Amino acid sequence: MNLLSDEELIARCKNGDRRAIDVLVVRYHGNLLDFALRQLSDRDAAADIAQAALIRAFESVASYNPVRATFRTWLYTIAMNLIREDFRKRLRRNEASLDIVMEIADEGVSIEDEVADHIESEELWSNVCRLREEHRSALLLRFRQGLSYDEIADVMGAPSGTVKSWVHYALRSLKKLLEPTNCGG
Amino acid sequence: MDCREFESKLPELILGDLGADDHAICWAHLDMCSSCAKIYVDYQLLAGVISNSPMAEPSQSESIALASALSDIRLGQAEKASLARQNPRGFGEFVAASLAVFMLVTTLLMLQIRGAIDIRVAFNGLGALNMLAAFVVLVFITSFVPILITARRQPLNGMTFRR
Repeated sequence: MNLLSDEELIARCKNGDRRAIDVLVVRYHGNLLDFALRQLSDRDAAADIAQAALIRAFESVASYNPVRATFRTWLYTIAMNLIREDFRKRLRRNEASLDIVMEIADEGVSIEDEVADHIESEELWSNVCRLREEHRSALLLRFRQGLSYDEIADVMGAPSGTVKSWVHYALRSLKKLLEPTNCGG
Repeated sequence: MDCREFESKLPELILGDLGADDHAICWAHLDMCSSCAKIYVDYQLLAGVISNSPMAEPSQSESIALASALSDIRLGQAEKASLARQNPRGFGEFVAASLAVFMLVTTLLMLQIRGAIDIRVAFNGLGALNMLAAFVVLVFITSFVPILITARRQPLNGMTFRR
């Protein structure tokens, strides 16, 4: 069962096979949790979103059309919508900081080697959270979740070329944020 | 290739997504541009940390909570939802209303054929305004009632229905 593709497992889910659900949960629960966690920096909220995304997906599994999108794309689209919803709620409660719009100078200074060698994972992730929402999501989906640009375009509802630009801007902004001047160095 | 163009292709270069031609052009640019080579190393470092940091793992309690929530889901409900999606919402009501009108008209025609009633006489006795009103009521029953009924129903799933 573990060797079956997502689409084959979904077909089994539609026929009421609960073991197929278990396999898909094992396959995606961690990924969705990580995706939400890197966006929100809130473990409880991320866990809720990962759970809600999977429940929502399986509740409406019968309406899933494999011709329109892969299961993975569909699942991340649901998660993405839930994350955006969560951000909106936080903004209404003034809990979330506004996205930081990075103005990158053309003459970007390179990260010093000695600093680069010691990029702390925690520092990196806190700076990832400071990226603009679309840049951050595109970066995480491409580099961390391994989605193709076309899949990300489907998830985010944007052209593939735009997604490529977002990933590029995200890396550039992140590099800028991690430079010594931004690290207090 | 200039530095700006090279930088825009960096994410794809790092991920190995570039075609052979672009890949060769990028490496040719790297060989002759030290500043871009430095940026390439920085980006590769960042990408490496992002890609290779350990993934968050669901805790046991989170997995149990999810399994419990999923066990409450009835796949049969989803199948029912699927069937409902194949037929637009309100389709059943529309068919029922159309059938009722068809039976009404058929009954009137049967009675007319058997001589039990004379529709022409009935029409002569009916004013133009009354006929128009009857027509409007007929259209309302066959069209708007099914729409009103379905608009009051709950969405089949939370994602496809916006109020």
